[in-house]
Amino acid sequence: MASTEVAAKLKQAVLDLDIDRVQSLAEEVVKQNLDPIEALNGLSDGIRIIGQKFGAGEVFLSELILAGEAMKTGLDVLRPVILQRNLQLSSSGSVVIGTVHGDVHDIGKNIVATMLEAAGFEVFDLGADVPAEKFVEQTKQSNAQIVAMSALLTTTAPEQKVVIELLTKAGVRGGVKVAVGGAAVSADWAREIGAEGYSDNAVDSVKLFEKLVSTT
Amino acid sequence: MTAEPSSRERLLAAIRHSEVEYPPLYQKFWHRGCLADRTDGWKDQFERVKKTTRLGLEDTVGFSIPRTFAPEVKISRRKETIPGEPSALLFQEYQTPKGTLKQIVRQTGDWPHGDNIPIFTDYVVPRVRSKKYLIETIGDVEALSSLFSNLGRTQLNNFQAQVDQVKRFAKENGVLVEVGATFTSEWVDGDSIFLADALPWLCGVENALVLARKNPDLVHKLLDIISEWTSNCIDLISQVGGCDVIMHRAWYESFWSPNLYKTFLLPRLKKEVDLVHRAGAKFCYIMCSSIMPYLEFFKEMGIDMLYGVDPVQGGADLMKLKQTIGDKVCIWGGVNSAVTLTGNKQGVEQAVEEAMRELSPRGGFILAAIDQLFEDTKWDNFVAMMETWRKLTGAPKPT
Repeated sequence: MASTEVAAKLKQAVLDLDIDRVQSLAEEVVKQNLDPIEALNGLSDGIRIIGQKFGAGEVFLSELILAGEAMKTGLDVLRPVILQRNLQLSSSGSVVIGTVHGDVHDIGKNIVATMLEAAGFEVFDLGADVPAEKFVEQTKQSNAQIVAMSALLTTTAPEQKVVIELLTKAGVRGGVKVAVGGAAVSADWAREIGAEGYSDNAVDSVKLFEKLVSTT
Repeated sequence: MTAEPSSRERLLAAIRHSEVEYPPLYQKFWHRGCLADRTDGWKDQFERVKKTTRLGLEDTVGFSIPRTFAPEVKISRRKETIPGEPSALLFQEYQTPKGTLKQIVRQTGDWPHGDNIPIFTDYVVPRVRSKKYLIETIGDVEALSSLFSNLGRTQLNNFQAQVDQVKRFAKENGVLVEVGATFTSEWVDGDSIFLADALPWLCGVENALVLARKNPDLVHKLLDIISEWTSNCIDLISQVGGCDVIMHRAWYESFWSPNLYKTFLLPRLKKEVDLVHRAGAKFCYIMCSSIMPYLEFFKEMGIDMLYGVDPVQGGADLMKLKQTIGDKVCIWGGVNSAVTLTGNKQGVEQAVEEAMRELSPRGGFILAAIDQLFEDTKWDNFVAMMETWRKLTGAPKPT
């Protein structure tokens, strides 16, 4: 089986939300010494299409989550090979992402992280309930271009402002763009706290991040 | 001269789409223990009801449903610090007659439960915190089926005493008794009425969906067990009597696509609604986001009330919602609580006007900011909400 053929099959397996199939195809790539980057592109194509369908209301959150799980399953198999063979992934940019302190909801943030990875971003996912200091520390360590914060609760959204203030205090605010999202957040809120970007869904967030990177 | 209807009668009339003197305003304070400020708080639900009804709002009382582990179940806990793990790990095991359940959680800085891992807590949902969920295999599901048992005599007596106090207060004050979703976000001791909302606690959101796809039989068995817990709760509520409304929490149920919902949840929910009706109570379904694709299911289930109608964060199309289910289902909500939290007076007024315009015609409507009035919501904004409601409905001024 050629690399292009496997990539096409991986794309289809993601579209079919067939996690087991993604796993076996990715293992096939490793076993047959095929091009893991091409395979990764197949996965990315699949999840991009699911993301677009979600944006258009053609599929639902559960399908988006399952497609993300399929993508992650494939990545877990392919990533070690990519590292081992010292292959270069083309990078669209780098992002530090997390759900802010006090907020344990991470489903939306996870989807955005997966979509960003699919779009070629290097993603440093800090998880949920992330202290403001951790965002700053990771931004410094990774030289990320974007800090992305999610908040589902109206009570935790103010924590996004705290992170921005800490980034400024730490002297790294000038070097990064800040994007916010989550059910508790609006474009007005983003403007109010001085964030450069806001998106209300995972698909648009990829476009937003590409735009933000182009202006850094 | 006709006596003024009680709060209970007013709410029941709204639920039944009967004629009401004005559409009620019944606001939930899930995480806020006061009115204007902390000095204006309450020590229990009875005191809260006295304060809220004085403002002309509706309120209810309720009781939490006790749950008990089976006498044979042995629980063990330990805590370990492991190199490479940023937080200590909490290990909890339940030895049941049908197998052992194991759970591992990272005790992150915000973990609120000490060295204990409650089964029903949102804090175990994120993957970054749960290193091992309670339910992963069919063997775990088997073990889960023998984890809980019926209440013993003493527990039943204590429960009955608690219920009697609630019923007495409700009767004396003319308020409705509402059971199923308790007053805080954590119900470590008490129980709640749920179905798919239990899956994120037991297996995590992503894992639950993956299991539904890869091992549907496991998920069906798991949901059967949860349904049985809920049936037992409803039986218990029915035994003690006096409950007007049973609330089913479903904050996570819109995570299930309509296809999955139809396969896994709908048949069980229909049975649950039927059980609630046979217990002589009304069924209220709590779903606050992405409700629009599920409206036909709500009609099919025969729910009486829908709590959580939010036109902003929840994406509810108020006009379409009213047209689709408004004549059968009492709609509770209409205003987004971020508007009351961060908005201004004018924004609040507009939100209330829109909710009243779209949802109040032909009855079957209870106004509220969804999904609650937060601790840091400016009281002035809530005053604006109440004043606009009074202006539009003719509801009486506070006494």
